[in-house]
Amino acid sequence: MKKILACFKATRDLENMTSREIRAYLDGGNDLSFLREKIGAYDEAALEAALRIRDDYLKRQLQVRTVALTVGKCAERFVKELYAVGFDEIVVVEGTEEQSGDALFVAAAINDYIEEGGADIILAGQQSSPGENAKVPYILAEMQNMPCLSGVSDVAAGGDALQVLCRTDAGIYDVAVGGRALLVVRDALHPYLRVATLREKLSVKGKTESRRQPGKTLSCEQNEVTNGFVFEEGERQCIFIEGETIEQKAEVLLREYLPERIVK
Amino acid sequence: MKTLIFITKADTEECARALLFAAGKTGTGSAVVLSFGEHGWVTGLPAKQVIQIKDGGAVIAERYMDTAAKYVRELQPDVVLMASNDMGVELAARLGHRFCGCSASYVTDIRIKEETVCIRRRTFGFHMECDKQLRKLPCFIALDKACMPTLEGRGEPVVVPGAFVPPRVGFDSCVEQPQEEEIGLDACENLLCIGRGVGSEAAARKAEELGDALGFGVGASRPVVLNCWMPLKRLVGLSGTVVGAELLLTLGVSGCAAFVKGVEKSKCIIAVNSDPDASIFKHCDVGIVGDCNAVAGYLADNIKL
Repeated sequence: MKKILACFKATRDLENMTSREIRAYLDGGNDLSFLREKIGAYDEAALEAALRIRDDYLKRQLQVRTVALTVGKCAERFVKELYAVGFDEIVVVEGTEEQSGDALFVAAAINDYIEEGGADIILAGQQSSPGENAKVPYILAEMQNMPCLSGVSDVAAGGDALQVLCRTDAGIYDVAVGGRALLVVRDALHPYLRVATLREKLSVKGKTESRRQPGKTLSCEQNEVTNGFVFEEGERQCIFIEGETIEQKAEVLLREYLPERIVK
Repeated sequence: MKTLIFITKADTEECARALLFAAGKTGTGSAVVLSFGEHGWVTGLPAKQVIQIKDGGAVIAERYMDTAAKYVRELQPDVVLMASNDMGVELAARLGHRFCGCSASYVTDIRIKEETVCIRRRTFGFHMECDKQLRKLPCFIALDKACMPTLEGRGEPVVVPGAFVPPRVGFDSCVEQPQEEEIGLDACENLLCIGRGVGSEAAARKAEELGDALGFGVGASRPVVLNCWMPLKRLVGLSGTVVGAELLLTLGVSGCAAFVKGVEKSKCIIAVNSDPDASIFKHCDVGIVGDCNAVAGYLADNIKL
């Protein structure tokens, strides 16, 4: 039986944070609970990729087990959602908020799980907020001494080998992976996790996550010390174009701001 | 501090010179450059030595890990610098772990303070930067795109051929697909950038036609690329092309931090978005609150008049 492990992290959605909110955070609040919680964008794509590989294996009537794993806090709704879309097991490795942001701690925790439970294909997003460290999958690849592919955009398991499309800034590659591999997902062709039907949601109502303790508790902390944060607002003073209709506004834009720019 | 620089196939001469500038900040008089690829310009860099590894294979970090590790073992640098591109980010993290040192990516500044490597790097969804001390050598540092000045001047480095070490672990096959056409968004004087707010692939195509008619380069924000409305090469922002246009016109771009940081060097930014609270309006010079497709349609109909 093939085992697919997809690693993810639940983060706060920082995308549309205002300058005032960032200032408030920096001025001692350290509280992001008012922001929507979501699965990291690249991790979400990694989870969907895991399910797509599983779908391919099932089509070929191969046995496959899919596990989604996270380190640190994970809201119940994510656990339910992941069961509903088809993961066989959701594993939550316990850890504090600081530990779940420590790349070495997280990589070691995932490594411990793989050492015990095994995994043939491991997927993870390249990085997630708030740290944007881009380290966990790569440290894990070193710990596991397994081939690692970055910039994974698409995967298919139609034949004997896994077909992986990697889109990097140095080129686009079709890679065939026959054995174990760690796939680091970034700008994927299928970036969003599929949506479960009501029936699927109801069918997993009683399911809960498997909780486990981290094994070796490693940490980057003593070697990498954070001294502080710098936030430069860099805001511009926007002049809003007024007008009764959108056409009037567009006319002002065309007449006053664009004429010298347009290449005739 | 003894510094080694990695140059990969994706890097330009400007990028190499920025890395050399950063190497100067680590106190190195002259750095050693390890070049993966066929860059002719590396032999004119103001560096101490250039080790050229001419390998025509796939530019996947996994293939270069053992080669990079061999030279780190041999040269024993204190600091290894590379660009924060796909390969650099992976090499930094993996080598940092392999050599029991430190690593950091998206680094915007580096300095040495009391024998310690101090860096500033992007964090918190790219809204902020953080200052860090890296206390264990060697440090593997991937520098952020376009954040450093470049080291000018020609040099006469000692050029030696390097040896490619075949990776211990590998893949069954790896075939490079034809490259998408180079767009050169970073060189465009005027740029139109399409955001998710246009609402559909058809609307994105119309906006692209408008950009062509205006004679502007056409880029896209990340959600547009993720929706496959535009190819990856069109991506503008920190994870795509960092631009500094004379004029940037955005249509339906919300203005997330990674996008804003990637366009902030633009002289004039004009934004059209139907949401008056969109973040982009805090980072632009001129704004229109309203339907971006209507504005695009009006411009398309009237620029020829």
